[in-house]
Amino acid sequence: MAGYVLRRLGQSVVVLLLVTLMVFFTMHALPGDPVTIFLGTTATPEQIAHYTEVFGLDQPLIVQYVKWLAGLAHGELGQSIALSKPVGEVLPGRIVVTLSFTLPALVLSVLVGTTLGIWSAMRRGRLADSVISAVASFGVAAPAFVIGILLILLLGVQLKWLSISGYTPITEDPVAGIKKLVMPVIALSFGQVGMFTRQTRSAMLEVIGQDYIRTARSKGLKEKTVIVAHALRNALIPIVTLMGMSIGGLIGGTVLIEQLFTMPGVGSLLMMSIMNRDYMVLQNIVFFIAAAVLAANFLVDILYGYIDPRIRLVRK
Amino acid sequence: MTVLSDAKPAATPNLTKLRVKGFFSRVPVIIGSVIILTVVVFAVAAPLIAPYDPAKQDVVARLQPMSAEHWFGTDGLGRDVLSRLIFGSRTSLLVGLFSTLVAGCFGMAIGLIAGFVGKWVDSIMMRVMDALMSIPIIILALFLGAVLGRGLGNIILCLGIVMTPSYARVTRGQVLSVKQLDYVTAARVSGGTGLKTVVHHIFPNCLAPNMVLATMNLGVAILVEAALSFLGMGIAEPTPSWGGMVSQGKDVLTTAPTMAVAASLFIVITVWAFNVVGDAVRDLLDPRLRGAL
Repeated sequence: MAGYVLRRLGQSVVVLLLVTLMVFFTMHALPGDPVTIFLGTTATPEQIAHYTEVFGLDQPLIVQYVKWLAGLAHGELGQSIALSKPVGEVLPGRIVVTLSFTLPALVLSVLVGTTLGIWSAMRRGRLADSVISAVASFGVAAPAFVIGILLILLLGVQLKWLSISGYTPITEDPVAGIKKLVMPVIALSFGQVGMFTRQTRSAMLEVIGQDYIRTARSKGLKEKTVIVAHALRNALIPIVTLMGMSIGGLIGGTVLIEQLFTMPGVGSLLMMSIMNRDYMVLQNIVFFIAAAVLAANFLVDILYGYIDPRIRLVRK
Repeated sequence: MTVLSDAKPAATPNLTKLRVKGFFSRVPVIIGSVIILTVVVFAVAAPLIAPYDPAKQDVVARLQPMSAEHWFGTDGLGRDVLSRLIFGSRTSLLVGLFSTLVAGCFGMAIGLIAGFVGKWVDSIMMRVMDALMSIPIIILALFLGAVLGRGLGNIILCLGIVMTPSYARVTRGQVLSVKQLDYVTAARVSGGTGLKTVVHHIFPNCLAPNMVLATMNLGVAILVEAALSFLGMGIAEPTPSWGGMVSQGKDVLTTAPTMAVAASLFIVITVWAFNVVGDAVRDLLDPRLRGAL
């Protein structure tokens, strides 16, 4: 197992290095000069040359790349051109905003999705199953911004229950903070709930037809025990796989949600840095997102071995 | 002497007919197929069906509500929303179909080379695919879209690149299993070149799973294009696109909600139809892939 973990870790590091290469060199192909955008059209060539030197953009690309990697290794994320601040100062606050609705959305997706999936599988062919399956399949087809628009219209404009945009830190005003997170969380998790429901239903249906489930029932176990201890445990592999995959979907969805609800998170910073060609911010954000996705997939791979000991044996 | 009976042998069931019957046996698949057909008709015959020119502005009739004249009202420039939705189906379908085609071509080429050549070529190619897959699809599309620009061709290329890794992975897996088979070994032993073996013996075996993936990815491509247009990084105005219409509708949600709602529903219903039909195509072509793709 330790050998497998090390091998997977090594692969992830190689992939992450490739991400840095792709992101860095593709980003420098972006049309437009960050310094000119920062200084505006009235800037003189001398000013542009001065700031290009200040931000280190006059150096060869390979030197800039190596400096970035060396900085990453030491926790130095460089300087944002557009914000005139170190990236290390800008990112943490933005990450908190993004996590404040992404984490609840992930928890909600897993809990509601798996519960509905199990419930639906237990009632296969009945009305409840048909309704849940239909709603789940529409959920999968509905992007976060569409659900967000419909929620704003219903809960914000028509019923006036919630404010339609902005962000209030929970530490400042817990009630206002939570109220402002309700719509982003629902909008972000709606599609994911649909995916978890479909995946759990299909995995459960495969498992509950097996002989060991019949045996568990025939020896008089309670239905709840049969479902949770025997069926769900064996249906967990595809559900856990989806958990790993949904991290990427959720992070991607944050860009849309933050634009729609005007929230100052990582997604809106990413959009801003694309517009401003703010290289340092952009490359660090994409790097950390890729690292988060790889870490999630790595954890899922390790979890497989704990869920199903047969996988652990094969890896040995 | 044996006397042959005049009786006709029992008719063997027509497999294609049975498959088609099975395909359309589920109500959602029928509904999905009708929706796709409608969207295709909208896209092909948009100038004939749309009641107005989608670019024609009428500042006097700005942000009109639903009426007999303008079924879904008008936008901020007085353009007919229904006409723009009908023309928007062209954008969605064009981007969906061609980006899937681009991704299929790139992905299959990479998968064939990686799987057949193997060794370090395989390792490098697949690690690059892993790197692409580690960046969420919308973020990668945003990033590449900013580099390539906002034209229709650029958006198609951008989404094509974004979706390439899944085709490369499926093709590589297929190549690895097929190249072990006896007939491929026989083809090589009988003097066939590597390229000839790949083109004539391995490539045809990779088509079915990639077709299944392509059908299922059409909905994803339409969704990502809508998301890019919503963020203002997709198809540029004045070309109508559903995502762009949701974005414009968002700004006038309190006064004229029809545009955002109608465009949202067009996106959801179309993507749902492609997903449902994609699932059915997967079950039809290869039931073993159920849940795997």
